[in-house]
Amino acid sequence: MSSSLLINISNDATSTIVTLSGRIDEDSHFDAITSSSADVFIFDFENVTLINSCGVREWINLVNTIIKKSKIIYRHCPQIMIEQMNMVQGFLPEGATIESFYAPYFDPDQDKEVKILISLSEVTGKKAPVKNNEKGTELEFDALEAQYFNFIK
Amino acid sequence: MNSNKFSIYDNLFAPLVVVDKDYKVTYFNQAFLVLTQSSPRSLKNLDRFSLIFNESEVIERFLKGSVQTSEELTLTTPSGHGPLTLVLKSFSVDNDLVITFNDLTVERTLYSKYRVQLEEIKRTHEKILQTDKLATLGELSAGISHEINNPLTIAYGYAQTIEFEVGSKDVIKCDELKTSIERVTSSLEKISSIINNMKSYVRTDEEHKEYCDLKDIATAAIELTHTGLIKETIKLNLKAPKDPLLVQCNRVELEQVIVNLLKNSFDSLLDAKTAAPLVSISLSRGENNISVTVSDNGPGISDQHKEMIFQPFFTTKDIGKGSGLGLSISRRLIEKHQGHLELIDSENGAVLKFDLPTMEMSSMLTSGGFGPEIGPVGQKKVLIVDDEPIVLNQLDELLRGAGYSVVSSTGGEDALNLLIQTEIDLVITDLFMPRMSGSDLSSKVRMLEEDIPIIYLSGAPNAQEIFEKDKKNLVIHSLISKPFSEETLLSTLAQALKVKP
Repeated sequence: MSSSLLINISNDATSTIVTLSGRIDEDSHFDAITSSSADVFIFDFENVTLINSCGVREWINLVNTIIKKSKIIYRHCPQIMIEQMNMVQGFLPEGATIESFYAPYFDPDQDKEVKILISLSEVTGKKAPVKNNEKGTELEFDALEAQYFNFIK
Repeated sequence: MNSNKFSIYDNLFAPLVVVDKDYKVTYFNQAFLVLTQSSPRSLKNLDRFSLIFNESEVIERFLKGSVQTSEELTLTTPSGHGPLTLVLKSFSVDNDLVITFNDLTVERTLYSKYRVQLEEIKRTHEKILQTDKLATLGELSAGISHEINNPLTIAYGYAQTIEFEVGSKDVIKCDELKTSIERVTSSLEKISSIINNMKSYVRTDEEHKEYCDLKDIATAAIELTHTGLIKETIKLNLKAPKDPLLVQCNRVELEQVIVNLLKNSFDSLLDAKTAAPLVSISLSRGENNISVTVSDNGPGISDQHKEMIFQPFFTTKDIGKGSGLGLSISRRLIEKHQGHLELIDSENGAVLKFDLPTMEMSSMLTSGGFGPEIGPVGQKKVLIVDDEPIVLNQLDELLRGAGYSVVSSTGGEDALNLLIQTEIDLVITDLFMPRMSGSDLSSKVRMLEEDIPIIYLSGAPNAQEIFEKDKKNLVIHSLISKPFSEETLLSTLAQALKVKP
């Protein structure tokens, strides 16, 4: 079965950046990643659209292999990835860090949900950071705070 | 989420929702948010729980219905999340209704996906089988055309004789004319037999299994392969016991296996230019299995090739002569019949042997396996004892079609063993069989089972007489005369079993 996950690997001066696009599921193959060696792997999840339970298992196997030799950084984690981190042990392995992730907010002016990219340093005490829209109206955090930020140790 | 009495469910992995008497959501946990990709705000604003899904009427029916566990439901959310395959379970706590969700989406998706893939593999396998058969037939065509040519020449010759005699002014000699016509007919019958054999060989009917005499299958395979130059050059011995060797099988598939084995031996002998080339095909019956051994006096299989001969695409033949699939396909076909194909160590030539379960064994496996019970609980189990494959197949088809579980035997000790090993509700036995008559079998059955109904089946003129004699002594329920109708068979069985036909 062909994989619906695209993996793009590039290198900068200090790390290997792995950009993932599509679905992480039972058909995902990470050979391109496991065959690369780097001191630091930055996983960019910006364009990941779905991860199912089979994908979670595959992902855990991957990162638990990589973490033995390399540092792991998660970047642009969408809500679906954060939810898995909160529920599944090993999805964010010990020693891995999160650079940035998306959180759901509600914009009362537009009456719609928006995903705001925030960095880990903005979150204190598992409280959602205050965010405003372009007009300056404060957005409403649109998830259960204690649960959503549970992955932050 | 409320900080209410249900907050103990906050960290539960299973999605859970609580609704009040008006079906408004009063509690939900994080797992439910993840499942539906909803926000707490959207849930709090909902008038009714059912509106979480586009299929709200299905949810309403479940909530208002009497069952506590729903069927598998396929649901989507208004935001486009899904389809989700869910089973809902509800229980009451005080005035609230707690609803939990079993998310089967991944399982259902994988099941559907792999089912499609398996079907594809199956279709591909069928194509490979068919390709192999056609390739084999292509290779055999020269020999087969020779086999057709011989009777064709004879028929042509006698047809000319008939033409001459009919056209002559002399008195027509009826006896000679009759002989000529008979020879034309027998030659054409021979050709017809060869053509029919070829047609049945390329037929595809993968699922069809029936009772067949392995000797007939071996003979058909020989007729296809031992032809032309091969027939003139290589001697072939068929050794088989006198009694039929019945197996429950797909006839075409077993013929394909024997054709492959014979063809390999013939090719090997011709390539090696073996002196006094000989191929033997030997059929024998063991306690629970029937064996077929194909051996030759050719160069045999070298040690380095022994491990590889069953691998697909392995061949020692010249390019264009054999696909290298024959033995791998043959092994798979035999395994499909719960048998085993192997290479036997031999110092003289190649020896390949396959074992198949006896018809008693395979019919028992088909009917649900060993142990005191076979087939689904409550289904009546019928033991058919007959040595004729046509009758066995006819009875098997009719009785299975009518909902009975069927096991079959050619008679004798095998039939009695089946009775000992399984719980049979009724026995139908032929009266005249080579190893043990129906009367003798019935008398032994009565030693084992006093109450089991026994029905005789026979087309013999003295069957009625035997039945009348055994009716009281052996408590034989009835006699069904061959040929019989479906209605007669089923109504007689129903009477014997005291069930509705």
